[in-house]
Amino acid sequence: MIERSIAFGPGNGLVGTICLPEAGAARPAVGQVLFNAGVVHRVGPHRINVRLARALARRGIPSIRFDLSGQGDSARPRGDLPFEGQAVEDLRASMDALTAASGAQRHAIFGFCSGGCHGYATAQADERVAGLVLYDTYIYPTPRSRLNRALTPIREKGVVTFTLGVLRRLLAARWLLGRDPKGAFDRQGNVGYFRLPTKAEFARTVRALHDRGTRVALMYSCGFPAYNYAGQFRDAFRGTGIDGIVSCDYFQDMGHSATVTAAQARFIERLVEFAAGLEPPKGRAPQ
Amino acid sequence: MTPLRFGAPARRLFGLYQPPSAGMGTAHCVVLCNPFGQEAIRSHRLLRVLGDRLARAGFTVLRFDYSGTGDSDGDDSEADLGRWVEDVVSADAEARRASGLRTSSWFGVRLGATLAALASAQAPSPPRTLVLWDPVADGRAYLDELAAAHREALRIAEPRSLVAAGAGGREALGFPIPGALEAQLLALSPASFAMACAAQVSVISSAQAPGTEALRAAMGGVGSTSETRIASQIAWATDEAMGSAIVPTDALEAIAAALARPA
Repeated sequence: MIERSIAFGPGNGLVGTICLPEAGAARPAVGQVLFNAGVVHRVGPHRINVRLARALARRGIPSIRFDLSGQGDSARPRGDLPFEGQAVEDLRASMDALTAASGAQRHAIFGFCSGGCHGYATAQADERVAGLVLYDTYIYPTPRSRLNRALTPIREKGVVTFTLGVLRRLLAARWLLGRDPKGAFDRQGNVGYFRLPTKAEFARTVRALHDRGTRVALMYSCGFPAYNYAGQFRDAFRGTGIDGIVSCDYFQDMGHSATVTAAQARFIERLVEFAAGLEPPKGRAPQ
Repeated sequence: MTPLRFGAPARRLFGLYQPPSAGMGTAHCVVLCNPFGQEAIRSHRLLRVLGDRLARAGFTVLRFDYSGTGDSDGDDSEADLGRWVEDVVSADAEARRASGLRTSSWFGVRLGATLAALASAQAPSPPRTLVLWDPVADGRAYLDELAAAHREALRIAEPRSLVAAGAGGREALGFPIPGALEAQLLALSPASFAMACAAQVSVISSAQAPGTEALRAAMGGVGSTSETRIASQIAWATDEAMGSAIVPTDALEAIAAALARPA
């Protein structure tokens, strides 16, 4: 494994570390892009991005871990792009840097929490994105997840608290109607500043990405009460045609920021497995 | 700001070299020392902002990650206080080499402050000023604090993992604590600071921090020693990271003032 820390992008304002497999490894099918999770700098929560980068390198997959403009050690953004647009530009610059360093022409993006929104936008804007992991990013409730959530207090705190909770919810017509949630880290577990795509929108986008050769993986922790059982995504999207073309993992014993090191190891193993399974560009096998 | 990797080829350390703002150069560089584990994640922004501020004030700044932490080589399981002390000395040598300056001062926060104090006794050229913010001077209390915070984090965020993984174990807030590190931490006491070496030592204490009388007494022979207590109260040991970067203005001002104070 070889690591190089670099400044790159416009004005060399972005700071990152390239992690390459040992010299002599086969040319990689894809590279992996890792970046901030919320305000956490490029090493990731509990240094997960560093451990992941090195595990990927052991499987022959190069990576870059970097800070978006204005975060971690990177320079402030120029200010002429909206937040999301700047993140897309930064992610594209990171793919340029990784291609230059490793030769990989296509890349997977690991979007941790709100980082998934940046990855989702970049995947739509740039065909070099071969894989996209959305971790605790978009949550779509189902009748069962709502029921599970409503029953949680009775399991944890007993009947009285549960009854009060039901009464409170009965007063919230919006909950009864089960509308698509919008807004920031709300009780449905949405990612704040970012708009939750409607189910139809999300299904259409994922289908288009799939048809273009981009694989999408959804991963969920037990950290958000709104996502609370293994088959929730499939139930939510049953009949849309995308439940069979995306992979979905539910880490039922791992909190949002993966505090337990044993859970981190399982999470990293799954992320490596996803990246390693991405196909090379059509008509070109890795050399 | 220039990212770099320095140190022995088998153990490269990540560093960020930040020269002073144009026209502001002083004859003085500053090495910033991270705390450990989750505290390092949460205080990254602090050190970034502090570095920027010091560079604007004319200092040359080097931030870096210890072996097996952050972006540096090595695995978390290799955590070792002795190695980290060597890393501080190595970072100081790199700062002096890159800047061409002969004088340096060191700032450390929490365990980083402890490491800075321990390393000052080993540096070929001791720092001019040591600025220590809430140094860890009682290793047992520190480990107890981390263990309690870890249990609380699991209770709140990972109730099922609490059962699956157990609340104990040698890890805290997402980072392993190998047995050797645990033993080294347990041995830390105010007396550990007695060998510190600097022309002046400035201890900065957050509002909630315990008194530093024993610490300052232990450093009685280490040049002039002063304490500044700031109003900010910092929850160092917490698993929260999202939106919880630590950048209190009064701490930044106290640190910058301590580093600018003539020796």
